[in-house]
Amino acid sequence: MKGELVQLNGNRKQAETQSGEGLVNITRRRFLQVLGATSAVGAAACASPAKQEILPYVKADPERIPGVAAWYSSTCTECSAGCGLLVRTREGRAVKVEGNPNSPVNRGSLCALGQSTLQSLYDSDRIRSPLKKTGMTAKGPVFEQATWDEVYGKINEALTNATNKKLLITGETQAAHSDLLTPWLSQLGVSQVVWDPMQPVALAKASELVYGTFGVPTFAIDKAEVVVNFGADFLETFVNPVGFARQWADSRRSEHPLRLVHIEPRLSLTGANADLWLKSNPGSEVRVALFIIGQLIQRGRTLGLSSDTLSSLKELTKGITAEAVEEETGISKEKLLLVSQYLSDADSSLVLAGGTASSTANPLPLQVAANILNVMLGNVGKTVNIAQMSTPRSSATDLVAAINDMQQGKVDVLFTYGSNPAFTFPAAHGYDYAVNQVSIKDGNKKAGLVVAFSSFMDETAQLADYILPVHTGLEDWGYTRPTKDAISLIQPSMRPIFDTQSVGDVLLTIASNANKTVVPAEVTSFDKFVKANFLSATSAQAGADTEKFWMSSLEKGGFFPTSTNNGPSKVSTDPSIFQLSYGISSPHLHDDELILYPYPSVKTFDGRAANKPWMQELADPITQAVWGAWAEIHPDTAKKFGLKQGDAVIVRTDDGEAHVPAYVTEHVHPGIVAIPLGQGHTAYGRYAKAGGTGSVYGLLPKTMANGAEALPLLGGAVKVIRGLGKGDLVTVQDFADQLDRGLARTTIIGGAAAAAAHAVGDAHASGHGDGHGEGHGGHHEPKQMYEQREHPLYEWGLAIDLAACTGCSACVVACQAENNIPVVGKKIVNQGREMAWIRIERYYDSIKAEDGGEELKVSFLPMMCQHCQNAPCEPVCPVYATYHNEEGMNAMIYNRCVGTRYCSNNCSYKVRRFNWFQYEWPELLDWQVNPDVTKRTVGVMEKCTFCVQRIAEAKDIAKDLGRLVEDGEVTPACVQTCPTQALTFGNLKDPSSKVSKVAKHERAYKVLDHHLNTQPAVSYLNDIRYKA
Amino acid sequence: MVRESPTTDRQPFLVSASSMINKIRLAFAGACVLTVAALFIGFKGGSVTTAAIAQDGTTQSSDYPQVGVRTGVFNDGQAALWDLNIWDHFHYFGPPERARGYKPEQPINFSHVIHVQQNKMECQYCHWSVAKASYAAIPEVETCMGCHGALVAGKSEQGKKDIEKLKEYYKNDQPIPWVKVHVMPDYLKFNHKRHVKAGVSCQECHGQVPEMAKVERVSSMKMGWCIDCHRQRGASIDCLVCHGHK
Repeated sequence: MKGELVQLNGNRKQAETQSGEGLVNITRRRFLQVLGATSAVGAAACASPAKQEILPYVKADPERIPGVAAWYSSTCTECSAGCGLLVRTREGRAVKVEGNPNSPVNRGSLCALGQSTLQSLYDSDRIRSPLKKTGMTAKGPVFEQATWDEVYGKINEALTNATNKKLLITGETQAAHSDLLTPWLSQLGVSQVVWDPMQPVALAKASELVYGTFGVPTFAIDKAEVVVNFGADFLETFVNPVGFARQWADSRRSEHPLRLVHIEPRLSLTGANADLWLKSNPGSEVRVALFIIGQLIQRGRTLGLSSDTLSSLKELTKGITAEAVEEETGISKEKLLLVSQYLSDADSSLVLAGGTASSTANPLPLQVAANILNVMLGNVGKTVNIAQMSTPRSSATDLVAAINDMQQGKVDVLFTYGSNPAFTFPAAHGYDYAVNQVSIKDGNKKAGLVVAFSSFMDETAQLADYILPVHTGLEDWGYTRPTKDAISLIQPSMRPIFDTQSVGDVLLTIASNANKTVVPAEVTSFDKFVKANFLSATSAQAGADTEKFWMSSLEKGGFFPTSTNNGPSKVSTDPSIFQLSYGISSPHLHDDELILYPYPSVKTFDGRAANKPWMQELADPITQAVWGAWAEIHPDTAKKFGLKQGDAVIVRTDDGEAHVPAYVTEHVHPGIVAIPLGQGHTAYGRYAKAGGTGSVYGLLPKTMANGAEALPLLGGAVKVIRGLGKGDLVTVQDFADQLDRGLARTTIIGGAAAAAAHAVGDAHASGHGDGHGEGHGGHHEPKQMYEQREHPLYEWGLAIDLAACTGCSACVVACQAENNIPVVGKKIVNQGREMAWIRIERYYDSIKAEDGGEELKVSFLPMMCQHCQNAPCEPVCPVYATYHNEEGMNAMIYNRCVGTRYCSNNCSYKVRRFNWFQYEWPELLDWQVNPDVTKRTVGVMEKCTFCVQRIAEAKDIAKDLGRLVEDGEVTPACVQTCPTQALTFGNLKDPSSKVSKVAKHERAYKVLDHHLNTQPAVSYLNDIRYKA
Repeated sequence: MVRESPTTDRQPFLVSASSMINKIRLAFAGACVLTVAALFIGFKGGSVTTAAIAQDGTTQSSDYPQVGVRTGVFNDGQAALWDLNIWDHFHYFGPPERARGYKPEQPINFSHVIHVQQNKMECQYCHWSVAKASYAAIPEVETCMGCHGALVAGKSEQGKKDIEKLKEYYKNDQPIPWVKVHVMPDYLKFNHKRHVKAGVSCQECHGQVPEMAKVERVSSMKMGWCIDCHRQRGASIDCLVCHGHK
């Protein structure tokens, strides 16, 4: 299939590039400059592979030592959260990104998408030079290479001659671009339309109505005792998932963990981490919110409300009974009362609404009700900070208006940048037709001009007449404003690979060609603009030596003042909220129809991550599926439609259809079909195109949201038809039962059973009531067959707190990036030959609730090599390729391995991966390969090494200083990136190290140890759940 | 200085078997060596000395440290039975680039004799990163130009030509495509810094480079050769120190 990286024959040429373009387009000089230094380059064409060249730098760079990494701080540009980055470069190439600990947004962590930003930089299908469209074929448009001057000339001509509108469609632009666009747009008479489907614009609008300010407030999840969440996937894609995950985890492992109630029709990753997950009828959440408001009024929790608002609310909630709401929402009245009880009993709480569950055609009432709840409960100023707001500018109505203008021939010039409306906007609106209307000569109207500033040939860029290739985030300058006062700087970490320019420079050149002054004369390029703006914004702190301040800020990653301002607690609520319609209207469905529930997933977001092979091959934490989309259907519904797991399904509306495999799961509402957003690309590179047929956006109706600028994702009826045969569903874990093996364990807290906390998931353990099973309890000492090992200096160990692990899978991608783990493609994963060294196992258990019922408990268990003391893999290796070393590591020596695979057969954890083929990195993606890690060849076993290269580096540094490695000096890639810091690594030999303390925690246990006495070096800490 | 790992106090794999097995093994190895050597000498018509190794006693100057070069088949140490270094002398298996005596043509005929032996330059003047990083830097073209830019134009015809060539590279902003003499496999970590800091001199592995008009590989650099020295000096022989990463 398309998109497979594997080359079955090692001698075959590497994956072909588009139209034969390749490194030939770069001059030898540029190639060598980028390549840099003395790293040896295999001369592929040589007769003997052993002959290698060794290339020195031409000019000395005193800051760069060959073989030593140089780090640059920057900011992630994949989504608009603006996480700080540290980019590790070797010999002039970015090889790894990590979170910047200075940044208040992500505090040193990154999500899976952030980790894979390297694959934007090294996308094999990047646009490498300016292009002009020369024609159309059945396969798509044909582009030819153009020159920058040629395209700039065309743009200038079009801008001068334009008589109608000039449009610029962008995504949610970074602050530097916004600052530049303000004068640019007014000077050139261009109007801007912002389109980013991930922005919570309904929430921003509801904040305006209830709090008085338009924008998304800052939430302090860690300060809440109870969080009631109407579908906001704050651990996945909502606003700032990395920051929220840290807050959530900080609270969960504290003395008084927060209680999370999640209400939505489909189990999301955030819902899977909730203490109480309530499956609601699609679009009915607003009734739950109103019911809770009514309950709180009855209980007198109306702290922050004005008397007018209170009386109107009383009026609004009058007659909403538990029975009626149970009928409307499908949530039992006991649970409804329980949730109200939680909120009214809590001193501090937080109510959130977002995600697909809230993304109906009438999104405001739910958001307003959630905000009202926050006001009533006195959360404003405590867990909701309205002084620090981010203002999303994305607008679906603006885009519809722009499309109409284009269709009517009212637009002469169209620029697109950073947004993909041809894919992420309902096809029913006809964006592609509209763009063609701009560029086509029609009757008395002369042809307009469409120019895309894009690094990637996505659906939107394909429509353009000219494409100007721009830098990706890691090659560009810029800054973002994560909070009101803070500035997070973006600086290039390496030279541009291709003939690209910064978007800022493109805009400046267009303005100067048109003889317009948008910036002061001394600002001749975008990097100078960034510097000047940064220094003027921080002039109070910069002092006299601005150059020094600039350099130190670049090093730190920006300017991050600490703000203790929690914002006002008094708000003025707009009475117009009572004119909204708080009822729900369920669409009339035919027998063969279901409600479409498209949702953004950690794998693809809105579709922007689909071109990254790491994200495609990442197993979705809930469904465990890789590559492409799927349709989640309830078993009852599946029965009705005659569908079984993996069957081909055609989901169809009048506007389009998508071909996806069925994924039958109990954890969706029977009335919906849930499909992840962002697959089914028809452009955007080979990996995006490998993600199945038909995009969910193509199924969405033309309906616009009522009162907000959001795109309604939920509520459309779709026909579900059984396709022919089996669909293309590949999952890495089909079985969700722990079979009482005590793999992922849970401590139940709260409720009447708080005193006798017990464990879930292990029949043995729960019998003892101590929450951590046998093998630790010491009621019998296991008989040792082997001599116990001694660890003179170090005993490396890892501890994983399941109470903090959300299953977000950032560690999986970080590991893949650090350790040169190949992407193998869907077919080979289907054969059980995936290569990822970490997998996130997902188990479904149930917890007995107070009322005698059972509540769903989802467990995530990150599983990597356990580095067992009594490793079953070691004695079966006939060639001593795997052995236990004196530092407590289960070592894997690739060059000794002869590939018997005995070790893998004998591994109790199934964490060993075998190289069945000689996997190769397609051109350009191979630039990312970590030079510190051996690329494994065919026939060799591999597995987690605890990032031995990082241990070696730390030991090297410590030895220079004449001491041992100290605690915290070694952080494997997974531990480094974990958004919740659920992982701790260190020396177990040192009793004062952090990992030693965590491993001795009362919740600590080791997987399968009590059955097999493998004595792993990896400890897990029980998950925590409140009894519902 | 903290010792990295005391593994060396123990006997390594294969040699850790009982002494009886050791004796049998050594006897078998000896027999193999003799047989194979005889066979190859027969095949090759007696031309045994394909590897030119800088021997002691041929040097004139002694301003630089005279550390004995490890020579000879049996000095190379031996980790396993099949790691007999006789192969190095015949280049029969494997590419010649990986064997002792590899002496490739370089793009510029750079002579260490002129630079180090005659002009007394320090190794680390050019290979400046050797004590700072895993890699020993090949000098930047700029470093060469420091002397050859204006001051030194060369004495011999060949030298003049080569310096012109150097200037050409510099003018075109191109690196000199030196051919790597010590090619190591991908599954291996070698850290120059650690060895230099532990007091291993350059010559111990690279031979009497100051006497080489054209650099050649004088050591097999096979695993047994490494381990031999690690054992003698009490350095770690844990596999993971050199393998499993790069």
